Amino acid sequence: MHDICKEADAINEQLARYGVKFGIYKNGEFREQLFPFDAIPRVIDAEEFEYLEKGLKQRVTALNCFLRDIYTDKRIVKDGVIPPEFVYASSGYLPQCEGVMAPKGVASHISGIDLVQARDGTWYILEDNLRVPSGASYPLIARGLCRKASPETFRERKIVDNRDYAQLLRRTMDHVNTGGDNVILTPGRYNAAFFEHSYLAELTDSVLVTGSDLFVENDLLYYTDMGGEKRRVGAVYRRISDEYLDPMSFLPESVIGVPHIFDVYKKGNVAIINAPGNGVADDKGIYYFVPKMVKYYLGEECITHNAPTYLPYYPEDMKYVLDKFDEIVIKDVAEAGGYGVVFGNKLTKEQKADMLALIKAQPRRFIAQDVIDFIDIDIMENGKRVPRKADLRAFVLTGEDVTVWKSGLTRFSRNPDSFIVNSSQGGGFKDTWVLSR
Amino acid sequence: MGAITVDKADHLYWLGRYSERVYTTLKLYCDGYDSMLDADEEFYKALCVMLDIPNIYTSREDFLQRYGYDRQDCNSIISNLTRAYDNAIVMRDEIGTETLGYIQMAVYSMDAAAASDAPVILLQKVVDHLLAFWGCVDDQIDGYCIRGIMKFGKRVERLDLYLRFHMDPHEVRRIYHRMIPRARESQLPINQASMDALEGYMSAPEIDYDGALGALMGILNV
Amino acid sequence: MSELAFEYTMRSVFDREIFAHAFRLMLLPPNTDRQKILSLEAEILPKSWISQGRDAFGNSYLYGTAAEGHRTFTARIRGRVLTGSGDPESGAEPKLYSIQTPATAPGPCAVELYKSLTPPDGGDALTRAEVLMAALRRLLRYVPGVTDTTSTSEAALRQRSGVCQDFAQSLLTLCRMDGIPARYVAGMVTGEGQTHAWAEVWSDGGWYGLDPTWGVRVNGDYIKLCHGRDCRDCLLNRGVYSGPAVEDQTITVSVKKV
Repeated sequence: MHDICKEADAINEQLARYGVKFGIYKNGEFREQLFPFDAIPRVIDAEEFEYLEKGLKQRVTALNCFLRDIYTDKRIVKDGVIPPEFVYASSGYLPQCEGVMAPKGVASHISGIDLVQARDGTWYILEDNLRVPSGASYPLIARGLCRKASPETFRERKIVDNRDYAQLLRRTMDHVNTGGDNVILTPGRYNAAFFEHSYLAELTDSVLVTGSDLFVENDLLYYTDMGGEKRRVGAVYRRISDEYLDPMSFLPESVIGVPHIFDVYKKGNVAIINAPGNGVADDKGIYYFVPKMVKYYLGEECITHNAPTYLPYYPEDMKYVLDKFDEIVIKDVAEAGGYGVVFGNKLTKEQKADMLALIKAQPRRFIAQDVIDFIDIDIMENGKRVPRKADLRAFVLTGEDVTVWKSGLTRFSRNPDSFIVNSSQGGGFKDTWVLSR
Repeated sequence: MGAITVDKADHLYWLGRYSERVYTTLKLYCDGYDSMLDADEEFYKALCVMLDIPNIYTSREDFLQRYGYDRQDCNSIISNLTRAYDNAIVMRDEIGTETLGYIQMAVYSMDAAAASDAPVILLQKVVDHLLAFWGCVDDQIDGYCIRGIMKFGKRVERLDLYLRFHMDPHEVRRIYHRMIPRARESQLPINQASMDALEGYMSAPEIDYDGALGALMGILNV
Repeated sequence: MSELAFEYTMRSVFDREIFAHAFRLMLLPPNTDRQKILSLEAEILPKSWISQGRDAFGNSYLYGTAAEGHRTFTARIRGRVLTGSGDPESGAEPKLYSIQTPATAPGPCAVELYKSLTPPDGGDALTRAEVLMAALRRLLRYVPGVTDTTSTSEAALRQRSGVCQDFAQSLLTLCRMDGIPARYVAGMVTGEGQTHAWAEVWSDGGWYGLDPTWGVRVNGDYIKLCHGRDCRDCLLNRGVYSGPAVEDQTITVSVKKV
């Protein structure tokens, strides 16, 4: 069988040619960095993917039910399934969204679900990303280049083509579009994911805009085209966070947002993808309740597995955290991107005492999880295969129906001792192959 | 997609201008590099006058290094190439990843030349990428006005440089006549008074270079 | 019962022309159990498109954009309100208002102050809140200019001073620590030339107004404009525009008994 790894340099050279980069700020200076690609793919066979697909569809369907419910009737709170403080005290809960119904009832259009596989083969959900999950563009562009660099591989193996992502995304936008153009709203070229914003705009035939390109007039959203004509916008795939979206309703200091866009949205005159307020559902504290949501809204057993999670908020879980501190990982629910993650056994005595005091003082702020011994994936380093930690971000698109993209972003840590795979912390990525048989 | 925003039109226009500036000045640089090998070591002084840039250079070596590759020197070729890149990178959705790739590769080749003992050989690659870039613009960009804006920028820049260089009037007029249809195609807001003035300079028996340059600078309403 | 006539005028003068001036004015007093709106009119210059919205806390606001260039902007809201029909104001589920926000989160000063207090055991929430209010007034001095709309109650308690906003937010901190749902109210009161802020506490199935700046129960002299979790939810006017201008804003408020 042809070894695609031999073509790694050729593929990386092509990725450089097309500017597959992410931006970082270091020492106050902006720099673009190539996102290192490792040619050994993650391979998921057909049967395994079928299971994941079923589980992810179910999970995202339940999360969308939750988002519709939580900003309206709050049945799940009234019925005692989720304690109210987990909703109201979540930093992702936006009271401004109370009573607002997203066009066609879809709140999480693009969901990025992070998974890892344990040594026994079980897949665990690490976290749900329902705000602005990024990363699909990387395996998308890499696949085309891999096919060029190693055609034999794609002749021999039955690998499902993943290059339909842009069409899926386009369909997702069109489904909720309220009349007008689709736009992708970027904070600008100095955003870490600007490559993705511009690449997806190209592939979906959307207009790439910044906040200052858009304006509201009489409760409709527009941009001005080159000829000075105003054109209506029907769907905004926004890549800026809720707080910065609209200085009239959220942070008044925001200069990258669009004044009044939230009012236009509330009146049903534009779709915002993903919907504002989604942070309440991908909060690390709410994560614990997702299997309960599946049961509550769908009346089904949850197919996907959460990592065994404990909420110090509940006394019996607090006891577990105190007893097993050296075997667990503590996560600060307010942090993201691999920050605020602490392994109990890596702390000094004083750090441990401080951490425990903090957990006791603010139990709602933390979750604890058993450390999963997950499967390492090989990467090539200096011509040798070496094992590294890796996760998988699956992309689930919700439009007329719910679709799991038959690929995903596999990120790995280049540091052999690290569990953190985020690109902002020096990780790389792989293609994810789903086999058709 | 038929419509693009005002800011984007601006980026396209300057992408056209800067990539043309790099292309034209690169050829001068390579010719100058050759002359300064043995014919005239101080030829760079004349080049600065011709290019209409301040001579901040201390020697032939200093000029060849800094004017070519120093990102701190705002008149250097790499600075202009970076400006082309900065205008291109925000236009990926309109010009396409394939087209953008050639500007990206021109930057890589320019950096490779900077580190080489025989840079002119490698600079040929920069020229190749720029030519391929324009080929790709013609071949791949369907939007008539998007292409029109870029090409208008390209022609304006060429004329601007030729006027600064006091090129042969016949050559200047040829470039001028190639620019005219692009002005219309670009659908940009053209200042008719400047256009008329420019036409006056071009049809006069002798070209007043500075006058024509002044008219050219006001050609767009902003 | 008393009938109050109010007028709120905001006037901004810019040192050079500005464009695309988006504004949001949370200046429409609501009809509640405590106040009835008899008349209300708004005037905004220059010419703008204007719409009306409602936020999740139930507050109504006017918003719009003056697209064309201008150097002055004026918003004038006036109306007549029948007040003093008595407490409490009925309302929805108060859970949202029992959670501290970043602006009201207790720090060491709030914890210390709360510990030093002994609200009567078993009293209703209103009685307890009045004890908290009295303690707060012993500590805080009214000093303008030492805080702004981003200041926290903890900062005010630390420096032991602030304006009505800080008195109100500090009371929210203490009430919420005591398990009493409490919300921030922005409004107007007779005899002051500016807007005012106070608190409402949830007691026995309704909202009661307490004004910690003056140490009194809210009465017929008060007109409520809006409420929220803290000061940031109740910014009465927001504006953003294009242009590198310096803005000079004057706000005048008059509330008179008819």
